[in-house]
Parts: sequence; structure tokens; C-alpha cells
Amino acid sequence: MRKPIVLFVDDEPNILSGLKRYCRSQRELWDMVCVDSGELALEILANMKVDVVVSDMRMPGMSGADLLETISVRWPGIVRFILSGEAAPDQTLRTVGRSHRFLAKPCDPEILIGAVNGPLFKKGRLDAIGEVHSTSFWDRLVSDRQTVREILLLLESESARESEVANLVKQDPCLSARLLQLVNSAYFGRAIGTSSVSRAVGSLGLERFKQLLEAGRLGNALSTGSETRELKSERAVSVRLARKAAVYVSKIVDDPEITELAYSVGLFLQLGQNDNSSNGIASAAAAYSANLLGFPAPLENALTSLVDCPQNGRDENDRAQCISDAVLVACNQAA
Amino acid sequence: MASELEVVVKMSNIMLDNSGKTDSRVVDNLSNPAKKMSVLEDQLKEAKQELAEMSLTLKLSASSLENQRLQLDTILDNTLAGIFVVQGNLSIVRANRAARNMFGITDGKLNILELFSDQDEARRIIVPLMAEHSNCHALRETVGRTREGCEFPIEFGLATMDHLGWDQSVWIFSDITERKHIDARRHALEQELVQARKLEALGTLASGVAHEINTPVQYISDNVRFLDESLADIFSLIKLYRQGLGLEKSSIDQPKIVSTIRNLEKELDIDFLHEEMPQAISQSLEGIEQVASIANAIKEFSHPGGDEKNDVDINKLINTTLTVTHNQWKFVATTHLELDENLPMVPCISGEICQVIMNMIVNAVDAMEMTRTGGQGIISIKTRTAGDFVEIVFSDNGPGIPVKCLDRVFDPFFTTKDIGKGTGQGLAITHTIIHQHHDGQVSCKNGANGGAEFLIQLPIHQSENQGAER
Repeated sequence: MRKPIVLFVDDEPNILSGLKRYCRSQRELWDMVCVDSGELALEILANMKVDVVVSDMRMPGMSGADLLETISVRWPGIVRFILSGEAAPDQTLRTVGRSHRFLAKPCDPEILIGAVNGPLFKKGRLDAIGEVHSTSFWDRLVSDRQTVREILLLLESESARESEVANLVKQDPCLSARLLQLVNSAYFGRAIGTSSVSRAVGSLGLERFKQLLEAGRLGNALSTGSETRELKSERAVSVRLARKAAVYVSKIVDDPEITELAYSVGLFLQLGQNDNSSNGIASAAAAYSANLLGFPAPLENALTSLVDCPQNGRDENDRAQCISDAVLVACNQAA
Repeated sequence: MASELEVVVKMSNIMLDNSGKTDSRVVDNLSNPAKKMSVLEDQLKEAKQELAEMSLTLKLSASSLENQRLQLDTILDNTLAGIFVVQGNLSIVRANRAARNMFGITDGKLNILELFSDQDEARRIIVPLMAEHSNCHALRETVGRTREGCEFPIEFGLATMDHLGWDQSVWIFSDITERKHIDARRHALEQELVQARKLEALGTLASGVAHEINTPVQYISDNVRFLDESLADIFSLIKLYRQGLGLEKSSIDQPKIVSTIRNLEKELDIDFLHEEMPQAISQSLEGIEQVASIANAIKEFSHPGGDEKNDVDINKLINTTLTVTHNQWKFVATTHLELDENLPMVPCISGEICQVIMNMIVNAVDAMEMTRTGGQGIISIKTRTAGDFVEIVFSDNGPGIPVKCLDRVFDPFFTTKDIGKGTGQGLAITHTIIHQHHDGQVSCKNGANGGAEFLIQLPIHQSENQGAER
């Protein structure tokens, strides 16, 4: 099997030598290539099959935002991470939807290596459908236009409350997942590590949320043409599953965090459904994304354990029960 | 008015003439009784007519006088200022409505001094004013007291009337409570703005510093972890060496030990460790030095001395500020310094001067960012002594200041930056800091090669009152 290649881009040579030394422990698993500019990175990418790119944001010449944007268009199958100390919000905004994780410097090397190894080696069933497909499906994930319209309308009014907005967001798996991605990374402030969509809305803030929606950064600029009936009904199924799973869990454990976790698991279970794939593949894509985007371990683990759930595609109550069980197991593992 | 009075007096004299004395014409015509009668009749008629005209004129002037008096009273009573007419002995003769309301005067004889909160102080102010035969132009601020004893800020002036031969003076009082409130509010607002700007500067500083520190911390931590792992590798090798030398017991057969050592050396890539470990240490030390220098710079920036003026090395402040703001200009510009090594120390509040230097750098960077790409900008900073001043000149090769804006750049809230980029406070605060807090000068123009040029002059010697003011 070909050894994966990880490309590091940073204009500070000491950062690159530090990474080179520390990531040597991974030399059996992947090779690393280091360059000090976005321009050089593009040259490497044109000549070499790269699997993961880890780029700084502020560099002389081409910025990290420009680099990742180019990569997402030309090589959508590459995993794109940012490793940056500080970036202007307008630059960061441009990386939303074009990158998978935003790691803040100083980043614990273990976390960096975990972030790189996850998508490389935790593909599971997705190996069958090819990595371009598995990574880029996230880029193509479309938010429900109707929901986005309603949210924007609500955000227009100054009295909009976070809870009201969160309730709308929770009707749409894509939008919910994109918000969780942002707050579980350091895009806008410290990563908070949460599976709760409500907390994600609160942490991001309504103003920034509105700004991102208006810039079409949350999968809401992608929708072209009319949505298929199946997609709409799939979304409705996901929301029903999420609600039921949350109710089941709340009957066993009285912890709002875990209830929210169960809701998110139910909501994301069919996240990969866009591509008309089977339930199993859709769940595998969801589990893979949870890892790729740095979602908390219980969320990722519950989704992973549900990939081959025998109840997939069967009665909704049974499936919700399955989700509830998986969530409780994942929580116990974490504890 | 005087001329009208004259007319009235003249007229009454004429009337007296007609009634008391005999006209010469009357005597001449006495011989002819008939003629005499007709002449007398004519004279009588003439006098009657004159009298009628006179009485009419008199009536008119009387009513005009009355009108003017009413007008004057109305004006006096509806004037916002309190007006008193005061005798030489300082007792009040007359007061308009505003004056009565202002001090709650109902009746009774009053001495004007009783309207002041501190009569001794009032006397000290008033005596020279009375002696000067002053007019109302010289206004004094003090505290007044109503008849009920409430004190309030007033402004007053007085005009003596001794040049008219009267031992009286006119006093004008204004209640300035409202104005004092507005002044206080404005002052508070100004203070808030200064504070807000300070916080903004601190925010800019903090985010810049965060990045400056994050980078070395990232590679120091990578390096130390690498050293930690490598050390474990090296000790596992040392253990094998010791076993090979017989210093330690071994489970491996002696002949096999050499090949085991070779294998492990290869596995651990001993050459790599040999090359990289010392570098990891030296680069980490480099990083630690960088963090330490930033920490020192911040200390200077935040300046524990507070708002006290101290003798400060301006060149050092410039270098410090450049260190702390490095992250903000390094991608946009290079710096070109011409710092006079013999620059004298300048008494100033170093934190504030750092803020000014930072404003200058940030402005230059923002201006150049708009027009240039790829770090072609140059920020040049010069220091020199010019007479009793130290001069700092900041120039850049950005787009310069539009001519129509040159006069306004120091106005509060004036900004040409995009919304969210600047509050238009930077140069206004710079102006306040340099002019008001340091008795210096700041000016701007466009340099010979385009770009903006700012000149700051700081006095080398602290003026006497300046020190007391702060």
C-alpha cells in the first residue's frame, strides 16, 4: 500500500523543523513534505499525490485561505487543515467550508497527529468508494434552503433569541453539522468541544452566524435547481430519529448534554445521504466526517458503532432505540 | 430721548411767554381799537393753535416715553440673565424678574453680597472691579446662593455708572448649572473615548502578541516532545552499549549484541538524532529568547509607572513597539530606522508614547495594505534633536493622505478606513497625547515621494505648569 503524504505549509522555518522532528514518530505511517509558501505548496500538489495539507494562515504572498480555496477546487479529495496562531476574521471566514479543521497554535502535537491520522486510517467502509468521494462529500453537503430562509428572516429581527434560532437549525442536518464543525475547531475563538447544536449556536453568536449565512459559507450557496423529494423526506426522517433518540436517552439519563448528543447522532446518521448511497455508506460517511471535523469522541464513536446497525432502514422506533443505546455506550466509554 | 425732552422744555417756555409777558406787537397796535382787536384775535388764534400743537406733541412724546419704558421693562423682565441695579453701598435698588427668580428674592432690602455663597471671596472679586470702572465684559465664575440657601454655579459681570454721575452699578448674573453639567458630561465622554481607544490599542497589541508568542511556543513544544522521545531512544541504546561492554547483565548472547546494537541504531536513525537533537535544543532556546523579549516589551508597553512622566529613551520605545507589533507589519512592509544615537532622554508617559508610535505604524500598514501587495512597503522612522525638541518622523511609501483630508486627520471620528477597520480615534488620541499631555506638536503632510509623513515634536525640558497639570 502506498504511504500517505502529509504536506505542511508554514513560512516560519522553526515551526517546520519542529513539526518534522515531532512527526518523525509517524514515519512508518506517512511521509511528510514541508514547504514555506503557498506557491511552493501548489507546485508540490501538481506533482505529487498528497493526502493531507496542514497550512498556516498568514504567510507572505499567497495566504493560507487562498491556498485552501484553490486546493478545495482543484483537489477536493485532500484533507485540509489550518494550523495558525492568529488570523483576521475576514481571512478565517474564507476558509469556512473550504477547510476541515482549524487548529490553533500552539497545538498539542498529539492532537495534530490524531487529526491527521483519523481521516487517513479511519475510513472504514468508505475505502470502497474512494477518498475523493469521501472527503469532498462534506464540501458538497447542501443546507435546506427553506430552513436557511427562515433563519435569516428570524436573524433580521433584533429580538431573535439563540434558542429560537437553534430550534430552526436543528431541523437541518447539514447546517447543524457545519455549526458543530466551527465550534469544535478554533475558527472563531477557542474550540469548545461540544455535540450540542444549541451550544454551537450560542458559542458562534447570532451575528457571526448571520454573516456566514449571508456569505453563503454554510452549504447554503451550493444548492442549485430544485431539491429532490427524497432528500426532503430523508431530512424529515433524520429529524424524527433525532427527536425520538433524544427522548429515549432522556428517559434513562437526566443530562441535557447527553440528550443533545443523542439528538445530534440521530440527525447526522444519514448525513451522507446526498449521494444516493445506501444507508450503511451514508452512516459511514457521517462517522468519517465526525472524525475529520474533530467532533467530540462520543459523537464520533456513536456514529461509528451505528454504521452496521442491523436496524438501519427499518422501523424508526427501533432505529431510535439503537441510537439511544449507542449513545449511552459511547458515553460510558468516554467516562 | 434727550432731544425730545428739550423740545418739551422749550415749548413750555414759549407757553409761559404768551401768558405772562406782553408782546411788543400788542403795544404798537393799541392806538386802533378795531385793529387792536383783530390783531389780538389773530394772536390768540395763533397761540391757541400753537398750544394745541404743543399739547399734541407733548402727548405723543409722553406716550412714546411710556412705550419705551414698557419695552425696556419687558426686555429686562424677559431676559434670561439676572440684572440688578446696585447702589454704591451695594444695596440692591432694582432687580429684573430673572434676577428675582434666580435668587428667590421676594421683597425687602438686600445687599448684593448676600447673593454670594462666600461673601468674603465675593468682596475680593468685586472691589477691584468697582475700582476699575469696569464694564460687563469681564465675567467671573463663582458660586451663588439663593435666599433659601441653595448654592449654584454662577457667572457675573458688573458695569459702574459713575461716568454718568450716578453712584450706581448694573450687575448681570447667569445661572451656569446647565452649562456645568454639559461640560462635565463632555469631559466624561472624552475620558471614555480615551479609555476606549486605550482598550482598542491594547486589543490590537494583544492579538499581535498572541501570534508572536504562539509561534515559538508551537515549535518549542514540538521540539521538547521530540527530545523527550529521542532521549528514551538514546537510553535504550545506552543500555545495549552497557550490556555490550559487560557493565550490565544481558539476556542477549554476547556475540549477537553488536548486531542488535547495529539494528537498533539503524531503526532509531542515530545519524538523524545526532543531527537533529542539538538543533532542536538551539532552536528551542531561540524561541524562548523570543518569548522573553516579547514579555519584556509588553512590560514596557503597559508601563507600571502609570501616568507619571519619566525620562524615556525614545529610540528604545520605537524598537520595543516595533517588536510588539512585528506581526502587524512583517507581511506588508520592511522598516527603515535612522535613530539618532545621541538623542537626549525625554520626559514623557512611556505607555502613551508607545501608543502613539503604534498608531503611526498601524496607520502606515493599513494605508500600504490598501495599495500594495507582497510586502513592498517601507516604514521609515527617524529621530533627531532640533533645538529644545526631540523630533520623530514617520514616513511610508503608501498612497499618502488625500489633500482634502489633510486638515481633518486629527479630528475625532475622522477616518477613511473601512467600517470595522478603524474608529477614527487613533490620530485624535495621538493629537491629545502629544499636544495636551506632553506639550508637543504633531503635524502631517505628504512626503516628496508620495506617502504620508508625520512629524512629532516633544519638548526635552518639561515646562513648570505641565508637570503640575498631570
